[in-house]
Amino acid sequence: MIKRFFHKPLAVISLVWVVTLLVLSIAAPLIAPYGPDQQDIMHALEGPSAAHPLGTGVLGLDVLSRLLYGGRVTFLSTAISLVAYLSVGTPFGLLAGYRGGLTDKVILRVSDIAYAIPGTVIVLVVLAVRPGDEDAAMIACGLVSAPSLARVVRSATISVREELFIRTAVVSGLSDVHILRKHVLPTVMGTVIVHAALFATAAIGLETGLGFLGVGTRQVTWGQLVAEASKNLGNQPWLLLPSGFIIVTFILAFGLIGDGLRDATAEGYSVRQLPVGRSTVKDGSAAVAATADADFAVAEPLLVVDGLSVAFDIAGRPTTVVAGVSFSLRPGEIVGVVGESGSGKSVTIAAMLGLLKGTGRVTSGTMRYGDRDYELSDVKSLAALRGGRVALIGQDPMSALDPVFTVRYQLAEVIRTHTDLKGAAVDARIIELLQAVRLPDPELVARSYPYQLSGGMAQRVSIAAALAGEPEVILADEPTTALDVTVQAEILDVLRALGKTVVLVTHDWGVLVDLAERAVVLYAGQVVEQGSIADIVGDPKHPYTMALLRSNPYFAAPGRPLPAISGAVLPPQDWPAGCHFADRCPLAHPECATAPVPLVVTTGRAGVTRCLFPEDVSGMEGVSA
Amino acid sequence: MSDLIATATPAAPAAPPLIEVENLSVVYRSKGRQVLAVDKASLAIARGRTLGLVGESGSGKSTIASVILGLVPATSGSVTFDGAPLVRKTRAQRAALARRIQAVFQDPFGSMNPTRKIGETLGEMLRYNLQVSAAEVAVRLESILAEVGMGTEVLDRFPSQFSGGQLQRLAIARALVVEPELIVCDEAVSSLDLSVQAQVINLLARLTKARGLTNLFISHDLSVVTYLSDEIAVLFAGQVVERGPAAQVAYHPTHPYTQALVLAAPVPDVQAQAERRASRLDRGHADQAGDAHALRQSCPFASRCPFIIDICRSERPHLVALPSGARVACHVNAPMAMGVMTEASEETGDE
Repeated sequence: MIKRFFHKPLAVISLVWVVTLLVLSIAAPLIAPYGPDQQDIMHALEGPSAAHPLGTGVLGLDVLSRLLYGGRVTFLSTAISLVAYLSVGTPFGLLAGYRGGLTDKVILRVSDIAYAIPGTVIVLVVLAVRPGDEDAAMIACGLVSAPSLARVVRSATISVREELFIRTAVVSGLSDVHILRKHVLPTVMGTVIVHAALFATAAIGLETGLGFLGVGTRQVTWGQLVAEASKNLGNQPWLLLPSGFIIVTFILAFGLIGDGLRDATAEGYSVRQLPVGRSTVKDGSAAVAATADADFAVAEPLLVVDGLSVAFDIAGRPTTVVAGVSFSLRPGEIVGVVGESGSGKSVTIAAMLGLLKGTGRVTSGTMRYGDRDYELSDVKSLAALRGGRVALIGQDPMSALDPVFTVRYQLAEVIRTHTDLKGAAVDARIIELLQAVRLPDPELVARSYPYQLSGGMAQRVSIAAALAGEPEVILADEPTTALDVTVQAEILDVLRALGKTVVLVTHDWGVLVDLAERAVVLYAGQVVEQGSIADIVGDPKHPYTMALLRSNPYFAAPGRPLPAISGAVLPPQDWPAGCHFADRCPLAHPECATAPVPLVVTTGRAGVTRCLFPEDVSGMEGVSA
Repeated sequence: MSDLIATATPAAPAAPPLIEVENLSVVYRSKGRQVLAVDKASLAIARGRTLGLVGESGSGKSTIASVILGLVPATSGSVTFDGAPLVRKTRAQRAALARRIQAVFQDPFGSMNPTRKIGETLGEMLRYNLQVSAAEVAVRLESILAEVGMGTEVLDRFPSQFSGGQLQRLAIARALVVEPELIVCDEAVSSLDLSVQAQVINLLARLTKARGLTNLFISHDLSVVTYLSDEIAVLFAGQVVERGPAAQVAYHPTHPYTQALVLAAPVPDVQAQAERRASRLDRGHADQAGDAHALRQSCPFASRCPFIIDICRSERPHLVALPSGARVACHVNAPMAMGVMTEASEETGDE
């Protein structure tokens, strides 16, 4: 963590500045040219000179010396109040958040009361009781502010408490103290650091203010210097500069150090170290060379995606995550795009809608829709298609619906945007749509808010919303993944009965087989096989398809190990120039790795496969367990 | 113990169960409402065997696991582990049990503290709960990592540096390093990609067998459960509606809900899936408006059952042991008259 902190220039400069001030303050008696109260009446209120490098104040007191001495008080006061703040706020916050129940209630009420009392008043009262005792005042300041820290730590703790790793620790029989210290505290540390830095700046401000008001300690402080400067602003404006500069930079530095610490703590565990690439190509995007793919498009297609490539910035480098994906759909056809996570299936759908997130961009590829061609990189023209001609059904129906509006309102909005319907016709259309997705009581559902619907009902409503713009093509991205199987089966029935052209993205081969007529199998950003469902599932011609189907427990013999594929999908930055599956493939030959493998037409059927040895796939053995 | 795969033979070895859940009920309070998450559920697992627990979301699968793991208190009923009651333990007693009962959860990214190195996480229980010396911890970690197919270099890394499949291997290593007798796998392979899922399933099966572990394997995926389990229990609305040898329950389901579950699960076989879909559509389905958790005096599945008869609405069916070896709670497919007298009749006749 320390190493990472030193990689943040602003935080390091700030730290150096604070440490310098600290050292100088400690060494004040040794290095200060004058004592803090040493007067030089002949040179009062003067600007910088050889004798007084930062000038003098009233009675000719040396500003430099007084700043050095003043730092001692400021540092000590800040430290005292910070200790009081942290040592009370953090443990009580942890306790309230972790224990919950009565403990939580008591701590919350006490902190509410403390909250209601103005902190400054408390500090002034303390100073009234103990005049000049600034230490007591700063402790009071820390204690009065601690409840706000406790509250923040409490909410952070509550969200951590629900984490699985806390459950796991409890199951392991570890003590509460251990769990709080080793599991909860490190996770909420970032929050604590930021608040501590903010509080420290406030404490410095308060300390300065006390000096300014003249109610603090009688020793010289930075605040007193500011007060003195402001009194003599007309006579000697210079005086405000040294003390003002010190205080402003000091507060700024504290904030920056806090941010640096917070980031360094978090990066310690969240930095994903890039695996050492096997590919010798420097730029990930170049690793995917164009292949001379066989032209495979259906006759009279409604929609053709041609040569779609998408790149994201991964660790600052442009990296191809979808490499030359092409497929086509006949009107009314349901085509499944199937693949594991990282295969590029959802990115493909997002690119078709012009909805790539973050640094994602289409680097090449066109889409032919009806008789018009679209550049897939032209997000604006794709936007015109969305909702009207092409609609999306997502995985999570609850997040697709706005929780604050009724189903009727949300459907009406889509209908008015995409059709000319008005008034009662809109209502009639809403009921019609809800009936089309087989909701038993459309009137009731139309009146409902999303939270009143079950997951299955919500997904039906989001299908209805997708239908509202009367699209020809529906892109369904894992539409049933979040649902129970019995509900999934019904949603698949609904999708089948729509009679629309559907691109079904799924990782579930059962869902694919149930709904789709043809399949496009993706692996590591490439189409590896395409063909009818019966061909692909019954007689796969790509080793990946074959191995994946074999590893499905449905086909397993009880008591015998599943024929699992070894290894894992390579991350995009490691994709080799040759076959992306070669490192896991039991059929791999040396030539598989040397050059890009093109899609070739599968002999004897309407399909393509990206394999140099498709005829060996059916007799494939040695899928290791 | 050598034959870990259940056949249709109903007579299981008469060994006393390692874990036994009897008439367990759990009531949650949620926004002033009481939710009956588990409703008089009973199940038992003999030492060295795997019980698959299936059911839809909200059926109470994870709640049963949580009670066994001491994370949620039982409202009524009993849980017995190796002959001794398991519920209402103090924290210290729980800590002693932790060595014998371990868990693997669904989300591999959530079940490892992201701020701590793998070595700290894996060795934590040995060091802090069991007071094993640092040298001994190192030896045991190396050995368990070898068993899950990983090297000791992983100990110095953070969870964010691993894939889901690798983390799940590490989660299994963490659970097994203390050499537990019972392992609770709560959707342990559900979030993994297919090609990786098979590896982890194999690993679990191998380690379970090699170590003679008793396994409560919870999943919504019937084919995974069928593959891994000796017995399957089907949960609906907090109640066990069917229970029996894995092959019997998965291939010859008796309860209408189990049948619906089997028929609704799509399979990657064109012919078989077409048949499943056809049989499912043939059955038709009743309206689903009823809240299963609200209907206390009836069969929980009554509002969704296509075969409903009058008694289903007025009387809750109890588990009846059938000649097939399965125990089914259904007035239609398993009326009391079909029951065979086994030790199982005790647990069905308690009310």
